[in-house]
Amino acid sequence: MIGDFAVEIKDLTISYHGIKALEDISFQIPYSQLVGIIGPNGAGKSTLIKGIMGLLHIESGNIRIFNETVQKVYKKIAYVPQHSDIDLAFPILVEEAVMMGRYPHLSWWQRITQKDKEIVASALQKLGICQLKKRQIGELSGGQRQRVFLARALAQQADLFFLDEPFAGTDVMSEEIIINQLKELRNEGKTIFVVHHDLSKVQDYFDEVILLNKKLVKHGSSQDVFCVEDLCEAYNGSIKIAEKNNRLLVVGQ
Amino acid sequence: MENIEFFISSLKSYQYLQKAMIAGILVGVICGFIGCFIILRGMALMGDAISHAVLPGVVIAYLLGFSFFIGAVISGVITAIGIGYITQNSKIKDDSAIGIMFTAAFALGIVLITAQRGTEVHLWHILFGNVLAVLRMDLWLTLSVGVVVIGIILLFYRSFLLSTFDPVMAQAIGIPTKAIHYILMLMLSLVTVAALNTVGIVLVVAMLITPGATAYLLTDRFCIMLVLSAVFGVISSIFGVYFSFIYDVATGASIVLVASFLFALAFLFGPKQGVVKKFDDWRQKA
Repeated sequence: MIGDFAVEIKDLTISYHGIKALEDISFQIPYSQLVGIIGPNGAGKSTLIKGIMGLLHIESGNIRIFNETVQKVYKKIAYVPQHSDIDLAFPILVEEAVMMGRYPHLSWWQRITQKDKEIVASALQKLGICQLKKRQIGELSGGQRQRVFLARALAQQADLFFLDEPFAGTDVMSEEIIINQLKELRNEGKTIFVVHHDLSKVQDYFDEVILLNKKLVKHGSSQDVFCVEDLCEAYNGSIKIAEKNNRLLVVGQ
Repeated sequence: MENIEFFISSLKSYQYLQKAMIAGILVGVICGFIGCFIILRGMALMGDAISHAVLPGVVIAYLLGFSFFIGAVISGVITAIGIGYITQNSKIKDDSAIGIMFTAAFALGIVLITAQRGTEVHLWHILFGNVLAVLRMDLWLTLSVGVVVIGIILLFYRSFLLSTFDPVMAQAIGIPTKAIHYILMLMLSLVTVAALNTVGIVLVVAMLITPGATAYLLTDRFCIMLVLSAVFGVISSIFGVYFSFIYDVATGASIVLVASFLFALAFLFGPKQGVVKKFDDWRQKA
């Protein structure tokens, strides 16, 4: 069955300064899936996506993306950073930030073409931020800024997306625009990984869930994984959970 | 007015003044350009470190009779690598590693100079510049450094910009972010040598940081920041050489003072971020 998966991870272990951040992670994700990576603080969620993208030293294990090594497919991978990782005072306009999505397709001697500009304009359009394109990125609200970085990922025309907490610090409208856009991408056949902190709406948002706490607690469809026992295991009992009409209500402590 | 006329007529008749002026302008442009990256990467301390760390390389190059530039690049890059190595392989944080490495290199340079009593290496001139001693050869070297540095930045503009703005994405799409870091360090070493005669090792960092920071206060676009920064560098050099000539004071220091004055103007009266503007906004609200 090799080749049927967008992402295959086998026995992945990653350490920082001798301390294991992730241990023996294995899973396979088919094409056209919206995947939530869920777990408590320090569970290694960001480490997992950075590891898959080939940015970290991997102690052991094997990663295949589209049945290739990461280095061969990096242009097809788009990344939306955690909002705290961005320097808000950086002198860059919204449209310039979105244009960075075209950089992987441009060699150093090539200039930006009309086609690149059209792709950027359409990405801005899809996320409803055309009117903000001449603003400096620090002048935006948190939600608008997340839409800018998703627009950048769209402009990259990638097949695999990694988003690090895209809903942190966003308003309701931005969150809705973002999740609808992600679902549209999924319907186009793309695979999307979302690091997600908030346990509410997990079942509405994701097709599959990876429940993580340094080790893989559980992986499966969001309906199956999101049960009381699994969550308690991942969060070591630090949350309260109530089940109502087959829906979970989660309260953090 | 009299002073300006006198300065212009002197500029026409004295070659050393012409050379000082050209050297100042070139250094202003180069430092202004590279300084923008240093500021946005939060590497001001690193810039200070590399410029000081160049000293032993320059002295050894002088003693053994090869080019200052080669000596400077070697000692600058070794220091940069040493800082990176200490940071990655111990619990020492990078600001401490920078402090340890550059003072060690600088001290080595001073020991080497003072051990050579009676030679022509003048510690004072290396540390604070001696713009009157600029040779035609130095101008050509400075010009070459400028062409190389600005050429590399323009050719790989997008890679430099992305790795500064979002290093994670840069790395993810295959841009060699580590190599870019060391290329910047290498360029810093070259720029320091180019600026040796005009401002000297100790004040190079001002030419790197101050014009760029002034530009940063005035614009929201990186490409404009680059241009403004170079313009401020050039203005500082021209007026610095002028004041130094008219009032007979140290050239490097007066160039730096002009740059600092420009920064103060932007800080107080900038149209968007200026202190005066903020005060006005606050008063209107109240």
